[in-house]
Amino acid sequence: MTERMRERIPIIEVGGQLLISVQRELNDVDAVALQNDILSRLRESDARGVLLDVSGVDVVDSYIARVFNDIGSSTTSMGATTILVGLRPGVAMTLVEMGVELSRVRSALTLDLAMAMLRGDASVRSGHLHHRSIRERIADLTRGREDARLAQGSDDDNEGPG
Amino acid sequence: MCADHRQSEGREPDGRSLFCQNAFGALRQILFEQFGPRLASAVLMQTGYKCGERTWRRNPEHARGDDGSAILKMWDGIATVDAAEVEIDRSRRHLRVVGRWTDSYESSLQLAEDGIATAPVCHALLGYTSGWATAFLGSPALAIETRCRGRGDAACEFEIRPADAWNGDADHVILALGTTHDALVGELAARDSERAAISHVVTPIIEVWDEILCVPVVGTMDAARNSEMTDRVLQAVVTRQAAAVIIDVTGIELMDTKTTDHFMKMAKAVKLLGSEPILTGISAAIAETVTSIGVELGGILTLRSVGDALRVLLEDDRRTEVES
Repeated sequence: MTERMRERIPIIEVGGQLLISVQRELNDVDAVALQNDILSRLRESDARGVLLDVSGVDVVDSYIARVFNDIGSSTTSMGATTILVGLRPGVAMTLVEMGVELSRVRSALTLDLAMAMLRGDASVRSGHLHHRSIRERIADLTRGREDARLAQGSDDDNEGPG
Repeated sequence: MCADHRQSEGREPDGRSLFCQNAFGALRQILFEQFGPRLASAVLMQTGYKCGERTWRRNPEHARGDDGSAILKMWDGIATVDAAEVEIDRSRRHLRVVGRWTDSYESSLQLAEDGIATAPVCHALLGYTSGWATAFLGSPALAIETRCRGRGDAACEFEIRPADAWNGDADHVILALGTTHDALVGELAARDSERAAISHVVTPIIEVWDEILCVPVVGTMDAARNSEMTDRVLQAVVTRQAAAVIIDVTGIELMDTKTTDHFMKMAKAVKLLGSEPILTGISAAIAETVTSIGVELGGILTLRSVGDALRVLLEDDRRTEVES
């Protein structure tokens, strides 16, 4: 019962985005409650982005990581993008060591950068634009290579006789 | 060396003495590989010295009979001695033995495993002889090798004299026997800190452009170095709010599955933080290895050089050549 009594993590709506700042360690119950809260809040509002600030979180185990991925994929299916903000270096290293992928969410170093990413806003200071455009260019390049590789593969498949 | 010769004396070598030989050979190899020739020969010589002293203490028959035949017994089961010329006067603490070993195991190991050496190689045998002779004489005696089969000579020739009768010719033996534990530990610690220093010095994290970091990795990667490096890279990404990190592996000596895995992990962690990793400097040889061992560099952008990476990042028009 005491777990349920724990305070809910507040969700703030600002500028058409949901902002969640997690400033304590997450346990499994917290994480699932947060997931439900985000989805119901998203249903009520017309927010296009979910900014999940985890700079205050020291431990992300594989279960919490899965919940983050789940939040990512369900918000995507509801037409919103989830960005994980301020993941700590130690947490990132542990996740990589455990072989956990956070493939359904995007990452940003700071809240400012995350907001800029969501807004696609060119009026932010050049540094932010820098981050965004670099990300896009690299995504394009990687995607281009992937497409080329797939095209190559299908060519091979279609290779008929003579 | 130092096989318990009471077990095998007068018999064919049994499993135990063969094991002793193999174990000694393996120990010798490890010493040389891990600690280098100077420390390895000192350890072998000191080990031999201790064994020599013990052999004297534990074999009362060595002390019986006349001195001349007693001294030849010390090598029973350890080495075959011929052409020995012995002068002994224990009351005057005088001892001079000149002889030949025809079957030093250390020489055989040296020739079989590392080829002809540039200096005598029978360290443990010399130590053993010195230890035994010192116990026998009751005052310091030292043996040196004047010829050595391991150095390409026909046989190993040795000479034993009291320590004070050498006039500097046995200084290398004195030095090796006197290399203390503290000196060994000190030297090893110096080596370790040198290694740590190299690891720190060779991997700077350079901010080559606004919010673009470059990590030129040189040398070899292991798990410890990788985690230390990843740690620093991630900290730098956070403190400098890096938009991209160029990991340049031009200076990597060996790119195997493990090393590739290390860099993939580093890149993934960078990506998790919200920065873009780019891997550059993969040589043709490395690319071939990576492909042949089936490692996927999936999801991480790889480019030919740091220059290409900068061109992509800065959206330079001349970047046509980076398109694959």
